[in-house]
Amino acid sequence: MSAATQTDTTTSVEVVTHRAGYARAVRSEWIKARTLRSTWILVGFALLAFIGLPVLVVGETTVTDPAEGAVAAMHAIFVANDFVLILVAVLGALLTTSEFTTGMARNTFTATPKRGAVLAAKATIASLFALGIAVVGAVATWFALGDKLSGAASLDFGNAEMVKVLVVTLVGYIVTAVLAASLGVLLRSSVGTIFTIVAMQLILPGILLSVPSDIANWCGAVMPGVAASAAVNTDPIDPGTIFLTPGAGLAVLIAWAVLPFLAAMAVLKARDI
Amino acid sequence: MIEARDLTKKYGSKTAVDHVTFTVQPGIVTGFLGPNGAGKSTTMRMILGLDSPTAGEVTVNGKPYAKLVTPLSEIGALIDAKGVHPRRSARQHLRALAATHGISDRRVDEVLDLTGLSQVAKRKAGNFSLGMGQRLGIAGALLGDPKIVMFDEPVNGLDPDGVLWVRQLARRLAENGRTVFLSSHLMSEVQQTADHVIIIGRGKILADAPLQEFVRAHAREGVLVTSPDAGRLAEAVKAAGGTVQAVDHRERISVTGIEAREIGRIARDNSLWLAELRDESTSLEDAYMHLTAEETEYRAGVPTESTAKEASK
Repeated sequence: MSAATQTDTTTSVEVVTHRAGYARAVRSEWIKARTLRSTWILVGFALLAFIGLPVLVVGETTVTDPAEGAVAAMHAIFVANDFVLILVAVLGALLTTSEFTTGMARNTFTATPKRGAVLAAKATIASLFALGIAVVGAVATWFALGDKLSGAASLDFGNAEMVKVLVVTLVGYIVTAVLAASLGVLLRSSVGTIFTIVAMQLILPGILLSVPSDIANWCGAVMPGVAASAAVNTDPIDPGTIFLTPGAGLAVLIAWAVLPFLAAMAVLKARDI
Repeated sequence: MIEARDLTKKYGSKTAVDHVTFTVQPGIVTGFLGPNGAGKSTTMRMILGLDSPTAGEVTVNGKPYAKLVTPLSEIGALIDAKGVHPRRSARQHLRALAATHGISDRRVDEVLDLTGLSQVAKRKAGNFSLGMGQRLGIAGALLGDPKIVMFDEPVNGLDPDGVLWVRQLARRLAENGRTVFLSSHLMSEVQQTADHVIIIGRGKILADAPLQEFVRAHAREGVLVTSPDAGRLAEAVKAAGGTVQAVDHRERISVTGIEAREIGRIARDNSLWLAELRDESTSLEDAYMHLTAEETEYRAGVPTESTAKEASK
């Protein structure tokens, strides 16, 4: 900490400055994110899809087993995941790509020269937005679905399988946010980053899993969305099909955040801003 | 204080900054001059740690930029007025920067006031004119009450009031013992503001001297003469031992070797019309043009092939 004692016509208030590190970078990134209308438009659309889609598509339950019903209810709440995660990814990507496309990066990295701290702060804010959307969306959807999630189809937080679905889904939100923010640093392009994520989430899994090639099938099986469903899978895996075990699924899912983040960190430190 | 030692930046085979060594001293205004593409902005980005040098090093108050604990209190920089998010308001832009150092909102409002942006603080930065953008950049630079200020082309796009304001601000900051480092291509502006000049051309330091000393050393001791009888006057001046160069049009010549007073007498004795007669020696622009004439990379009318040959010399 340093207190400036110089006083002249450019200062009448004493200017006190504090170490520019991760914690203050998080505060700065929070101000940046919340002062852009685009952030709230994306949050709004994400919540609209999150709540609206289940209300439209989820019907009355037919399950009678409460254990199965709780898991099915949790899946019903997150039925719009594919769409919501794309919006979460766009939000995360914009946090980093907009810095480079607007030139703001030069201000950001002169204010906080520790580039790793800035990336970590952006990943933190992206994760918090993702978690916020997931939690607010899930609670609101639970209310919105109302009677459809009653009886045997009620949520049961004593049900380990259902809690696992919830936890893995929330991890998936954080992974998507961190992946998008990291890809944004690697590609420095909003369109490129968003296209990559859409391809990974919506387009590639279907293609890769259906072509008759083991290599392609494996590539499909390790896509983040497929790995996430493997992580909560309780059915036995057919010996002929390529599908990750639950443990491997979770590990691969988390790797989709960790590896791009580390790559982004390395590239950010090595490249000129 | 900014100290660069052997600072070098190469982009592929092109050398943007070539073994540059200089020191920017506190308490004075140092002008950083050079033609477009000379390496001014690249040098400034390396000072700020945005671009890493290919070789050499540069320190800010004795430390590499990345090692500064509170960089905004050490050096405030304006390097790109358009480098803000266009859809964020000026005040929120500054608050985001201030947050990185825990700087108070009161200081944010103060720099807005100081730069004359209080009235437009809530407007989106993307709607700002270039001049307002420059003011916002300067506001950001002053946030941390820095010991050094570094402005890249600060008067670009400013109206005459703004130009005067930047000049006074730079002088005031220097008088308070701060280090002031500004780049510009406007020679008249630098002449009125700077105490010291560092001149860069094709990535190399061409001059590093107090302003007056530089002007004295490099300006031609010539006399600029405008006369409708320029042809006959040139003959008479040559006869008296002067050297004559045609300048930009038929009526103007530049004379060396004979003083202005003497040229006036020659004109009178020959009954020649003198429209203008003045010493060329006092202008930074003349000195600069002289020095950089050989170094200007993008000279008008020079075929690229010969430029390439020159570059390879």
